[in-house]
Amino acid sequence: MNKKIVIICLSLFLFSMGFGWDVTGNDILKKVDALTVGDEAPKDTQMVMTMKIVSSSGNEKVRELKTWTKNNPDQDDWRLMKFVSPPDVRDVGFLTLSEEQMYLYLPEFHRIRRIASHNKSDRFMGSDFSYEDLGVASFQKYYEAEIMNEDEESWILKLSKKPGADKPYEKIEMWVSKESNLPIKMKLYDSSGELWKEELQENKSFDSYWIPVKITMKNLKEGSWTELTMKEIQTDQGLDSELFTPRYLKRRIR
Amino acid sequence: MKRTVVLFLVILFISPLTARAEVNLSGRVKLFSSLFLKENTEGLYFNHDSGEFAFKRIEARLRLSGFLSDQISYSVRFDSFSQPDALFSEWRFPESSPLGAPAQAEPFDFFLYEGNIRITDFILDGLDFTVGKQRIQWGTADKVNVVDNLNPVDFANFLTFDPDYFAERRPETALNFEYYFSGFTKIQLVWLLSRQIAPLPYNFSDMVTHDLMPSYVKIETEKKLLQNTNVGLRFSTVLLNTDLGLSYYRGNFGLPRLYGVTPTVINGLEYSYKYPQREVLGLDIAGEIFSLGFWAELAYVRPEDVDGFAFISIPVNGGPSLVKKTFSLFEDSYFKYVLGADYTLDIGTGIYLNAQYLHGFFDETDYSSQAQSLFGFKKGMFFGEIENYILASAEYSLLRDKLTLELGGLVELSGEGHSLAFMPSLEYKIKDLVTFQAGGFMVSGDEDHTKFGSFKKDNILFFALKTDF
Repeated sequence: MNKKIVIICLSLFLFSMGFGWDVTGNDILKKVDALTVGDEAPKDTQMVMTMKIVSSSGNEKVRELKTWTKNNPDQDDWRLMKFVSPPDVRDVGFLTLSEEQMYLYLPEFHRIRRIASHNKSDRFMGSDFSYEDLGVASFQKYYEAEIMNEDEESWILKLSKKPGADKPYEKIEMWVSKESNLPIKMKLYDSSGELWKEELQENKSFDSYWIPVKITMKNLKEGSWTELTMKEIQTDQGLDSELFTPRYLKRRIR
Repeated sequence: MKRTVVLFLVILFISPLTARAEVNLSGRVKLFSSLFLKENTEGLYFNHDSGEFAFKRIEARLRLSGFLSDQISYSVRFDSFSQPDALFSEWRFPESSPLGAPAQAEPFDFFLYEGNIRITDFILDGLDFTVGKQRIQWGTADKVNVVDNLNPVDFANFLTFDPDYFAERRPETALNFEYYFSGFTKIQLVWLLSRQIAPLPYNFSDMVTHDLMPSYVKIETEKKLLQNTNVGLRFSTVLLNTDLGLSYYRGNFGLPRLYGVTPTVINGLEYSYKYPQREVLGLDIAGEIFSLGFWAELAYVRPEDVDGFAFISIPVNGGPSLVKKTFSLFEDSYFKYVLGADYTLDIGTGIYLNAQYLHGFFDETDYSSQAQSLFGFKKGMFFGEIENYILASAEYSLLRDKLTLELGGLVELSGEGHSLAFMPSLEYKIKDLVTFQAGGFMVSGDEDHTKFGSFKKDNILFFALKTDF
């Protein structure tokens, strides 16, 4: 009897550790990273984003941005974002080269300002995304993943922050589509373990890639949400590295 | 009439552009109003009652920008300031001028703030050329750039205590060549087609001679010759993940310097001012350590050798006699520097902190000891000796960034005393593109030995309403 209980307990333990599946959580996360910032991601992308910010009282603001991203499999991806509208932020630019090298361009003062990484948790232009949420860093670098469950469509992972990782989310629950191997939903927990944000992501097959076309970030503490819709998506255009420099950051956009 | 011509030219300029190319129109309308909190009848700069309006003005900006081709873009900004109150004095009714222009009944100013054309890959790949009236970034500090001598500080608007104009710099007409060896390494050559002259506040001449009436101010001018133009050269790169810049500027002081005092029979004391030349070698860096942002600038200034003069009284044959004494106005060379850092504390939505230690405000210089003793230049006065400051601010946003509270402050350490200027403010976004701002400028500390302390009786409360379009 005792032997049976031990075997059952051991099986449950192994199951809970991920031995119940052919793959591990880290394997799935590795695939997610490969498709978003790694070898299997588009070499570069260019798109127009519409950002709809909706407050808890229902007030709505809309911003439009142009973004360019360059994939660097061995290091952080580079991203350039330029605001197209509304007029008070037109030509404001944000360049991310790594978490330690970010620049903000303020056209009113013709000034490029170096942004230190302490700002990465700040809201991006009043939205529910932080600078970090819109960043392009690998999950694997900062989180350990284990499989919590699966259903027909997705794997459900639990991501735990690695010791010493400088990230605002202590824990992430991530639903990874079995079709696209990209996240379709994430629950983001703060440092006290409280559920903070929920992110929903729609991905579409585009050229030979799966690309997020709509991301909705809900701030559950404040009741607000922000929706990013991507359009005019272009991939593998052979974007020049020179585009991701202060020279282009301050260039006016057409 | 002049303004009508300018407006006509603007329309003329816009029409063909709109026909040929896309034009982005944007702008701002802003009402700024401030009130003095105390009476001051013997002020150094302001005289007022308690509750009297300090400033009440409407500011309008119009920017047109766009592309003429893939490589050629333009940007033009017109500014206008209007004082909504009619001029009313003991001897003049608020009447308009004889030709019906409203400028006297409702005074306003209209001018070209900025107007430039930028050509990318001009002649050579990697060479960007911007020509026209423009702001040029020179240095990495937050507003108090000691290496930036290309764009003079708007000293006129500085004294409005409108936070939008705190140590704000003016665009200058220049030919600006930026050659990029790579996206992060460039060499920049700026040729400024005229001297850089900071706008001074209204009645500035009276301010500088306030304590020695009758008196007269004489400003030495120079011909508009090719050799009387200014130049800047800057090399910048990124090294060890740190932005680094080395610069050289040869030009003039942006603010006038007193170099001679002559007693005259007709004018009383005649004060001679000029805009001396100087060379400035600059070093600037910016980066981060353990997610703390930092920046620093160091300027090595070599002013031209200016002969100052004054007439001193010496006893001759038992009676006083005036003798002209000449001396070097400046020290051979001196340093200015600023060190700054910023950080966001992880409290609530995050408290943004920004602090800078500044040695040498934009108006200060290092005078010779004789200039100090004969002209009274010292620390703690505008246009005086170099002194030290701590500038700091804390910013906290609430209601999803709709409301931002800021406590800004400045500590002036003049050596003989110190003063503290508080600049609290709140900014509320009423709607997208519509912002209300309110705040104050309040000073405590040594009234007699610090420049900001001299505004002790000029504390103000202000509010502003801004609409962008």
